[in-house]
Amino acid sequence: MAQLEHHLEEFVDPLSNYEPREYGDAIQEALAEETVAAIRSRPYAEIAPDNTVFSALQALAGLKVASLLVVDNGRLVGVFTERDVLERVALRFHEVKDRPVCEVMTANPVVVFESDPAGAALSAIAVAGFRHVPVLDVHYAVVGVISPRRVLEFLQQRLA
Amino acid sequence: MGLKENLHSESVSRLPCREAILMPPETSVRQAAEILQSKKLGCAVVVDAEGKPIGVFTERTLIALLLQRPDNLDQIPVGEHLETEWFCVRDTDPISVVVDLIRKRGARFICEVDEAGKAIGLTGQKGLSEYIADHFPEQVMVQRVGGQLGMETREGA
Repeated sequence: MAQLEHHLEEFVDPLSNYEPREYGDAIQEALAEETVAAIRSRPYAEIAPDNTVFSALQALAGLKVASLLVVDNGRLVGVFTERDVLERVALRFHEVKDRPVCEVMTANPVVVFESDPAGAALSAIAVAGFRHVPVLDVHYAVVGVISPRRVLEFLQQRLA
Repeated sequence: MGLKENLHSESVSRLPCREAILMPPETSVRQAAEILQSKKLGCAVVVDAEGKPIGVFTERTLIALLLQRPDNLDQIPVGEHLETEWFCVRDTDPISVVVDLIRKRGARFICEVDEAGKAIGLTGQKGLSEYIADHFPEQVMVQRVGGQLGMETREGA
């Protein structure tokens, strides 16, 4: 017993002098401490991989969106964006319009997880250069999609 | 200074911008699509004979034309299908003007013009994102971006 008391007297909490990091800027703090889940990622539009390219174009135009998440049985398999139309469809439209969209989509897109730091969303857009970044949960289920506009909205709320 | 102050004190010329693709209004939609594809850019600035912007032609308009008139893209001039809403800023304007155009008007591409009104570049959502990211390298540049969670299986026994 005496030995235990001796040890307790010597015990020093290793976190006793821990001080959480202080940030000089609300945006800096938001990018580091908040997660992607805090960024609006809905609404989003999705399409099945076996839908035709023509119907995907109709969806882009009809819904007035710039990207479609290509989802197969709840799993993200790709994204189809306005840029994919320009790069893989526009100049050979008649050849591909009745083909499945999975043949011209961007497969294995860069994604972020809703548990990632918010900085990861900005990194995917500004550093990796993707304009539409799907958001997944830890079970790889689709949560939504983020865009530069949505990230900017998130940051502006912290600037106010 | 912090980002908030810089958005008001720094000018649009500080934003990362792409060289604008300039084309006359007679350019066919097919030619425009070929140029946009080769330059990997989703917007062309349509200019008059003096180089002043009169509108923009974007990949969004291209999609509408593919659905409506896919057979004669090489006969349709881009000048007949300019975006109804497009945006220009002076290179001397504060960056906050760009922020407002993106947030309130949904601008994706914004044409940057000089004092004489001539198009000198293209900025917008991407340029602004890069500008903001540059302010916070510790929070942005270090991120591991990809398609996998950090650890798929638990380490150890």
